[in-house]
Amino acid sequence: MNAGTARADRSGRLADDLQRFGRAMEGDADARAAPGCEMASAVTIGRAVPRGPSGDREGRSPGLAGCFLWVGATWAALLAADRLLALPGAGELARSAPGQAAGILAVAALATAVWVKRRALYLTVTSIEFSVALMTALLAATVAGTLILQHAGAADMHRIYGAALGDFLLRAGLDDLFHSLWFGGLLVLLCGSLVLTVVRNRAWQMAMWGALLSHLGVVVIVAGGFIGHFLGMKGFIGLHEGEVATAVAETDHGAPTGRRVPLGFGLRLDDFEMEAYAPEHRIRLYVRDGDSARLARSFDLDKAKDWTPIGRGDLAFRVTGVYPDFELADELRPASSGAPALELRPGGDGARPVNLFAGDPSRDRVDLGPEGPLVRFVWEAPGDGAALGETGRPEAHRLSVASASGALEERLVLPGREYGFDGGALRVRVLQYLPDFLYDGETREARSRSAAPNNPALQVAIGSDGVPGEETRWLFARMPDFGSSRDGAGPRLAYRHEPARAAPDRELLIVGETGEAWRVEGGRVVERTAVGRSGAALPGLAASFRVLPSAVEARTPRTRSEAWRNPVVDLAYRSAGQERPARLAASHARPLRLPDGSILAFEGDDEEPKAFRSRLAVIADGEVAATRAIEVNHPLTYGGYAFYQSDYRKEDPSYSGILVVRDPGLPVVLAGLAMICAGLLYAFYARPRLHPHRARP
Amino acid sequence: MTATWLLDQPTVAVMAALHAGVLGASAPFVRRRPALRRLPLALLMAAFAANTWVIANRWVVADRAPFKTLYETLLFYPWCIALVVFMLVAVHRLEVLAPFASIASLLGLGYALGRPDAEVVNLPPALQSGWFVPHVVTYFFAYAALFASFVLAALALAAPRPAGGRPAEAGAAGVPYERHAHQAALFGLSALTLGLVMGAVWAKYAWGDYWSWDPKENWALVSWLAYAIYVHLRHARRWEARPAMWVLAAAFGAVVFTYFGMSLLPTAAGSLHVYQ
Repeated sequence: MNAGTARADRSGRLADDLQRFGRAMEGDADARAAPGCEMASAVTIGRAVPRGPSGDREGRSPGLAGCFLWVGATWAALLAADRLLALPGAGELARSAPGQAAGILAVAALATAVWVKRRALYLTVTSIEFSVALMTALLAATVAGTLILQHAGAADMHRIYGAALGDFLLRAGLDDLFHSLWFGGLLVLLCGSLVLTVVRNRAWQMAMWGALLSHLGVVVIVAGGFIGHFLGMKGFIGLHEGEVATAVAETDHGAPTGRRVPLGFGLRLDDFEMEAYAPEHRIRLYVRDGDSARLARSFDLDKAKDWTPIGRGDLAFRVTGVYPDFELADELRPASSGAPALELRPGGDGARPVNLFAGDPSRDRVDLGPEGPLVRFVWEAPGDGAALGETGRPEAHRLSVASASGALEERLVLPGREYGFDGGALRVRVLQYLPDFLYDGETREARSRSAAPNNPALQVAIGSDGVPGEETRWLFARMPDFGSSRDGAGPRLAYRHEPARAAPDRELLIVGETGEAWRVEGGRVVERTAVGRSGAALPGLAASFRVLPSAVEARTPRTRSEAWRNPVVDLAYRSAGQERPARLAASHARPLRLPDGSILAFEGDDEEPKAFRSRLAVIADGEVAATRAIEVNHPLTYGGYAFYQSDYRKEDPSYSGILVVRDPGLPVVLAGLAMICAGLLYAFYARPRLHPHRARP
Repeated sequence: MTATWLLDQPTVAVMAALHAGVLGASAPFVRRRPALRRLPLALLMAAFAANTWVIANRWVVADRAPFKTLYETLLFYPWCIALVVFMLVAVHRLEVLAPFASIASLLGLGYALGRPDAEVVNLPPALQSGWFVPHVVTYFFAYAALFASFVLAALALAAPRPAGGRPAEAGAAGVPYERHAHQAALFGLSALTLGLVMGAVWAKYAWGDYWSWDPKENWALVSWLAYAIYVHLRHARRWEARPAMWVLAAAFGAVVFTYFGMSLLPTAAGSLHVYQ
């Protein structure tokens, strides 16, 4: 048989086949008995084909079990080929002459086997059983791909699945199943089978358009996917505002390949912003759910002012106070045991007050900075000859000691001297003063970082009566709690540092008893004004004030501002008839444990992203060719590339990460998706109405 | 963000009670009375109305489509199932589906009553898209149709096999359950395909990829393949209606797992599709 007759013979047989299937479509009983005719019904979706109870085992397609064997064998062969190629040295072998010869021989052998068995293969891969077997294999592979961790890495695979199973999964390539050779091979096989099925059933006839479109749609999608994979590229651009990128760092499945692809134009990030949902502060009730706590209810602050039941019995709570910007302020309260006091609010009502006490040199004055005067509060008007002007003073160290007997003593001390406290029972030697204490970890020595009193520290040696030796301590003005000994026993020492102060050129003396304000300049009174005991009419100073003849300080909660900077709520909760107060701060994760085991917490949400927006400019030939703000779901397309908003950094707010995709397969894939939809709708719904005589009874 | 505990719970409880009423009214001794024959359907319609109210109210309060959390979808799928049942009643007089719709709805509503969302969850940027609503709604209609298909397949399988070896074309009461199950499956498969296609196009616009082998995507593909296998098998001559019905009923398992099973998968961490 020469080549010509062989071809004629083949085309004759193919035509014969197609004719028979054509007749099968028209319901020819003889043709339906022909091999492979079940396919004809496979593509006439939605059409009733009378089915005999017995299968036509005489047909040449191998049946469902045979098709499963075929698909399984194909899978095993692809897996083996994949593993062989992954072996070390496989690359060099494939490039060597004997390796290539072997490869050509293998392909030739495969091609010959396919040629010899072409008819059986053709009938098999176009049979409905084969499509079912192939789809079942793809289904099983997809399920496996959701049960086995993907892209986890060898270490994780071994840790999670154990050495043996992890090793097996890695060897079988199941850790990146969807990108394996065999999975792609099965998809290619599916496409080949679909194309041959269309040919075999002459599915281009109008009655079969639905089947044609839906089946070829799958082929077109896979083809578009391969086009995008092999001809397209993916990459990443990280930009700060104002920066221009002219190239893309190529990535492969998210990992950089190290290659940089020039764009052919410039991409400039003009602006990046993260829009957040308005933060809200809420009271949340968590109940125990197994080992964890589950959010059961959530309350708006302004809707829980009345008793709100939150559990069994009478368990309830209510909000008694809300402080958006909480602070504990020292407020003055009239008290007979107190001292004359002045509450001064520089800047007027609503500002943070300063409390001054007459008669205490450490608390009777406040320096309002270079612009304002030094304000000093006295009760009685200074008599003739009294020093009016505050003079400049050197830096001073005050040491206070709370002895075991409870007495508190404070003294001005000088480095190098020794002092006796508690009636001489306690001896304190001041060893040295460091204005800016720093412990040098290398030399293991304390030293001063600078001459400025940023962290004033005093080293003292303490000796007690009847106790041999001395104990050396560092005292810090900024950390008064540091002054106790390590075991908490012994005397408590505190160090107060008074910085050197130049003589103020302006002073405002407020005399409480007479309700006067004296302006003093250079030690001389230049003006005396009657201001009363409260008001805002102080000469040369914008401040409101209030004088109390006898007052003490008490710590009072209040809000510094209406901004939600340090939100705190005061609650009352009741349980079993007893009412208790509670204070919850959003910044402290210290919730309230209720008697029934549930938890009441006051929480503010972090800024939850609402939108990420990058304003991009495309620069071509030195000019801005296009501008666009991209967001998630709104990419920019230019020059064959699509730019997607894909990354941001909380700590670097001017940075934006942009995913770059060039996908020449996009129109192909979209066409394929449309084909599937149109095909199914036509086959299931349009065709039965257009050809009612073919519809089911 | 708004506290929602008191927002839908009373109406959801009413809905659950109405669905329970559908079950009670479907009992044979009730249905035997001619005056009460249409009661199950009437109660299902009342439940559907309450359901519409809950969804609409939530939509307004949350200022977004209420299909984000598991709880929200548990309030949405009974609505879809009821609508599909009304369609099948109108076209094919399949009132038999009403109690099954209520059983399925009660399972979800029971969970929704016990574990309501305490707060309205904000929509992350990726979900703020015009595709969000059509994608989710199409899928839920697919699921509802496939649920109906599952029930009808089960009814076809439960019907006694007629003598003579021919497949059961009609059930005990003369209803061709097998044919209705097939039609519902075709509708479901069409909707699954549309949902899948919309998801792929949306993913391309959001992430630059049609498909990223996310577990939910994979299981959506598994469901699609399962129904595609059914459609092909049913058209193979050797496969009669009955085995195909078994495959159809089993395929619904993939749908159920796609909806509820994602948190069981080791690969699901970080997936945007997984309900938190």
